[in-house]
Amino acid sequence: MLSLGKEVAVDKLDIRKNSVYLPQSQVYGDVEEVFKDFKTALADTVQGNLEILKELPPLKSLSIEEIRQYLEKDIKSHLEKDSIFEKSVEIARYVKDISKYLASYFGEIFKYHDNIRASIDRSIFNGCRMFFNSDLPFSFLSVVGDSLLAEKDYMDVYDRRIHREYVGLLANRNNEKKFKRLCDAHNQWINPLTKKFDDIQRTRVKLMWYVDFSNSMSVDELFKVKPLKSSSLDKDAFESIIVSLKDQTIDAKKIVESGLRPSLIPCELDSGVGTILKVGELLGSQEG
Amino acid sequence: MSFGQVEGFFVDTCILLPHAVEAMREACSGFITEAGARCIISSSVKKEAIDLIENAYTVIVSNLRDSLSPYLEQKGMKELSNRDGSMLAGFFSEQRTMMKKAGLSPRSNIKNEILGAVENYVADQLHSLVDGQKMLANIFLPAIAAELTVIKHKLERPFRGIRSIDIEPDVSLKSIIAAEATIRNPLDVMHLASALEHEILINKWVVFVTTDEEEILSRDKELEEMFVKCSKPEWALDFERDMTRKKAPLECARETKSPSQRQQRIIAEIGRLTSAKATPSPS
Repeated sequence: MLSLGKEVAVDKLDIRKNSVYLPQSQVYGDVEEVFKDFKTALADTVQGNLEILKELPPLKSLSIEEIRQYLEKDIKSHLEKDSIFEKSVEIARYVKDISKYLASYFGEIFKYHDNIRASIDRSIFNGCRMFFNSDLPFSFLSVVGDSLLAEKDYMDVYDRRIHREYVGLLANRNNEKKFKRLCDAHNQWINPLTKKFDDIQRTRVKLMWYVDFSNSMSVDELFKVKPLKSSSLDKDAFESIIVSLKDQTIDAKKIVESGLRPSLIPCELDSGVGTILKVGELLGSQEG
Repeated sequence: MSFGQVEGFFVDTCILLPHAVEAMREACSGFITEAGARCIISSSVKKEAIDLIENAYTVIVSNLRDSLSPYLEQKGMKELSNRDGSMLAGFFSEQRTMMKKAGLSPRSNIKNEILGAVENYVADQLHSLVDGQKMLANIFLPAIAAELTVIKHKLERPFRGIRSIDIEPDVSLKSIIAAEATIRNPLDVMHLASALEHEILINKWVVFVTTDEEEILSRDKELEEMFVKCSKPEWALDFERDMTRKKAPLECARETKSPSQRQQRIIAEIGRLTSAKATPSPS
């Protein structure tokens, strides 16, 4: 059953969202720094995305300023309708005073991660659709897919870890010293990973924007499904983003894999698994 | 004298890949559930598996984009339903005709089989659409690719989660294994030599776990003579237990009485490797 094609997002706006994990690093920090209401978070996210525009290689058909004006409105209206984004703001609020909102935080974060997983699946589909509408090299699909699936693995590792942490925090919620120590341990673990995955997301968005924007003749064509030609890209600039994303993904994967401890049991043999294995074996025998 | 020196299990690619035969699937799952934490893969096993999966994925998805997608466009097929099988069958038939025109050879037979595998999968996906459901062709094919992307990742996951050791086994160790145990597949030689070299360097026993009857398990006696213990997953834990009663590998090799010809070769090689380890080469 083609589950990933069933729920096709109407628009395929790929934007970078601030990580919700970061505020937890400031549990015992300055409350004013921590507190972000919806509007502030929204403004921050819009701004964060517009910053990416400054890093895009020069475009042949559109001016960055024109895109900036268009995106400012578009991203804002997209985020206002985005329930995952809204939830991230809510969770960030719980994080502000984790000891008080312990149950709410953990209750929401698992649901939130499930939504993120579904949104990653949609992004995989979008990456595939861009690839199929293009003559882009296979490295585009490969690096976009790998980076998204690395994020999914990260979610799994994160969920497993906070599941354990929840028990510890619950047991020590009246012991401020131990509670703080547990939060600090969490933050020490999460901060470098959050940074890595934020960077990956940023580079991936940059890649997809560069391909999309370079193939749009006007701002109205941005993010629309359309043929994508590699000739409209600067080959070196494109390759350089691909290489950055690949390197960032490999780097993050190493850390995630060390904490992955997944089930080593092979996945179920279904039609897709069987096809990959069969073709893999045939290719192997061809080489042999 | 040291006893009970067992490092764990060097697992072959086949242990971490899905099996069609239920008994084999159960044996592998049971073994991994029991001993997963003590399992290791060599870099060669990891590379073989990841390459197999990645190459297959690339070939299938490229085929869908570069051949099937333009075909549907050319035929004006904007939407697909589970009743459009004959149209897709036409594509695969056309591909085969093109192959025949290019001239049949053993290589193109493999290409033909690959095409058959892709055809089966596309047919499966098309028939999985519910009656009356129409899907845009430019969604159907990316959706298949997206599905395969997730499957590829699932297949690779055990190889990424397991402890892996970087080994580039010694050339003469590989040639002794290939010649003395008559192992023809260079990848299998590489995996076995990696396990043996690791065993020698850390002086702890390992069990090489595989389901490969044809190439490896059928030569288990010869390999055991060369200090590589191979086992099916069903018996791997039993062999591991037995090994805890054995002396460490280097002592065993040193104390082998009246060694066979293949043992003489491997013992000499073990001696060379251990002395090379003891005397670091000048940088």
